[in-house]
Amino acid sequence: MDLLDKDFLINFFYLALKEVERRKEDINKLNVYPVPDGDTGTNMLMTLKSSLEEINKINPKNIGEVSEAITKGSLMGARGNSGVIMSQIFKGMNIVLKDKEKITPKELSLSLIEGVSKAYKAVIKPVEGTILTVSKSFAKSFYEEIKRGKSFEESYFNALKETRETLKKTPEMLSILKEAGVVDAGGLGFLVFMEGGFKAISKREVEMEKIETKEAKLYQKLEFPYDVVILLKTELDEENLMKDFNLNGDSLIVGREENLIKVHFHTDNYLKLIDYFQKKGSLIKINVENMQHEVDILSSKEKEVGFVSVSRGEGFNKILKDAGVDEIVDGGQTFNPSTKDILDAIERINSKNIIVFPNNKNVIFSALQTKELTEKRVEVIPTKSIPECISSLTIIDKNLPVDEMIEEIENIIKNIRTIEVTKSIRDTKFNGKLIKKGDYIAIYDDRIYNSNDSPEDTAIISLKNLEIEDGTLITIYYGEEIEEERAKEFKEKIEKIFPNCDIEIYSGGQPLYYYIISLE
Amino acid sequence: MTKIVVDSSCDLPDEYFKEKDIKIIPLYLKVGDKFYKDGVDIKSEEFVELLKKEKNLSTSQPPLPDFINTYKEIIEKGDDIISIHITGRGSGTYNSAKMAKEEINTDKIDVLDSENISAGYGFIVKRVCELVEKGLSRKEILTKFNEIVSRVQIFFTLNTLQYVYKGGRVNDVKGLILNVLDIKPILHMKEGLPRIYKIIRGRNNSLRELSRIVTEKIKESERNFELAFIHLDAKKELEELKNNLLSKLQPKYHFTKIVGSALGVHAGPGALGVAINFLED
Repeated sequence: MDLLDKDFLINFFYLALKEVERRKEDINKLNVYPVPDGDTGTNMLMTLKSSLEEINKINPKNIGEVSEAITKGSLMGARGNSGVIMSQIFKGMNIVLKDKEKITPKELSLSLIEGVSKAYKAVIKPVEGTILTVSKSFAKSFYEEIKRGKSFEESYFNALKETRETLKKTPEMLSILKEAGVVDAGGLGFLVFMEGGFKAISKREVEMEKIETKEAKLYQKLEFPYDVVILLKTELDEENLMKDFNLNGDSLIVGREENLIKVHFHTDNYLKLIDYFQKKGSLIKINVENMQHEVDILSSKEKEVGFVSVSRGEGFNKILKDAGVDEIVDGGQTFNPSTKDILDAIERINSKNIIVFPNNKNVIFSALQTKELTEKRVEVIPTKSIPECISSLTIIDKNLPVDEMIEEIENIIKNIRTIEVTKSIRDTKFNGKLIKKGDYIAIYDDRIYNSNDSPEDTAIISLKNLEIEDGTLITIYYGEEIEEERAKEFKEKIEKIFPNCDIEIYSGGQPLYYYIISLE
Repeated sequence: MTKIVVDSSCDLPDEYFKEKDIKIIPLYLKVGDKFYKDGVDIKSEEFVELLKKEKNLSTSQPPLPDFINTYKEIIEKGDDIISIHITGRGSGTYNSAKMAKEEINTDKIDVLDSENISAGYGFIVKRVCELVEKGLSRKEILTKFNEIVSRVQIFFTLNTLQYVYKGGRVNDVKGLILNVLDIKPILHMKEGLPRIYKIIRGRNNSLRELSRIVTEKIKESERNFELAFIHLDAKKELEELKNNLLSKLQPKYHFTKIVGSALGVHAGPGALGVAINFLED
């Protein structure tokens, strides 16, 4: 058996570093633990480079001196957690390697064991599923293979194989990796380093079964949840068809099937997408799938409490989902959902406790009826408007026990006032006040304000009549009939009238109501 | 004599560091592949501008030699060291400091984890300084340290979630990722980690709530206390909050400081907070 000398270790280290350099971005992408700042690969490389500089500086005479240089350089240049841990591995290895002229592969394997043990000790609270676990796996299996009498090359190769398996198991050991759907970045960095080093041992291609290095998905919230396939009949060729296409999304595929064009796209707004192609030809078939739904189901454990909200309007639905609503039941004024609609939503949620937000006086009763019809515990919060649901769900601590949560929500709701601005559909009398058909009306509780100028002026009249404290948050949700520009102008007006309030504006997308305004 | 060493994320008045001869080891600010020493290459006023401009700004723990050199320098003069650092659960700085101690292989250094940040961390350092001046030994201070840490609380609110999201250091921020709705969370430090204390909608509401929480905590404890007011690019709002609190509360001592970059990178412009140091009887 040949002994390993200083040139071997220098060459090994150089090739290993080069491999880390080549796959730096892959490693960066995975970085979620302990801090997802996406720099594990960069940090590791900088640490290794500092070692290389040290080797070049001292011109070592034997393998012990190479090891000393690597150790010193990495200690001085260690960046980030994974860099620090690498430096500790080298430091531990150096205990075995220093003062040696040449070493046997067995001594190399022993030094790795020493290195890993040093790294474990250096970290205050060692966590499994990280570079520690992965490096331990390599050191252990390399040592055992050598002990079994396998050749250096064979032992190292088998250890790489084993290490790759360990790396793949890291998500099982560390839940944050699993949530993000990645293996550990530092662990991959170590593996890549060792794979690079293998080139100094063998000409054999490391059969690298590719380790999936997709970008860490930290929050299983898809940016472009809708998977849309459109079949279109058009005179245009692909290039002209896509000429002014500028929608946000990914995975665009445009293909021709005889005289039809098939478009595949992931988007956050399928209506706009459909709208685009509708203008380019005649739509034959549209298929929309919400991938978020699948993701949610896959990752859904049973929840302590589930939330059902009645709502109408694309913007409102989005905000409600954001705020934590599990199921939305379509409905509102003039379109009340049935008890069955609400019941179905309750049953769809994987939770034994359900809180229902009817968000309309006329829906409260049908919501209450569901209590008799399900095994689940259903509590109905008598919300009269969607903003009440949005605000309470946004700020509530969702870890509270159900009873406390309900109490909290009811307290929050007391502090929210809602004004709804719409148009009168007939001549009517309200609290003795005559309201003509076509008048704009703003309703707050049992007060009503009317004018025939514009929805905005009517809203302002009502706001001026309410006592609004400085510092109040005024949230304006504009309806489907209001253009964004117009809503923004309205917001500016309100800002001038109430300069000491916070004003926020969102698209509610609701029908019938020009504006729904909440004060809290 | 015992010297105090801190890292640059420690927020106390600049004069205080000078007066007490506290050594500051700078964290590094990373812009792409370039590193700058926090507080040395980049001052806090420049930092806000950089933060607004630079998308890829992050902080990084000081490299080992920075600790080793500082420690050696102090020890060679015959002094010993208490080295106190930003929460070890949020930064590798504390770990590096421990390693540096091990490298030097000495019993002349105690490396301690403040489990806090910014002015919360500052108050802990201040208390240790006072005990050193009182003549307590390192060992005596060490036994008291957990209690010192537990006396400090910090609450702060953010004006934007962009930075905390990007920085990724607030673990339970996950539940905060809202696509549409704007929220203003109030955070605090718990077991060495920044956690959500309460979620609020509306900037004014969150400032009012912050002031309410601080008042409530102080009333509850019935102790004497010190206050620190910290902000990043929110001077006017902070002044208002400060005046409001000082009109009803009587701290034994208080100071105001621009948030250090270690917290600033994650909190973003508009961040504003109050640290409370409850005093011993």
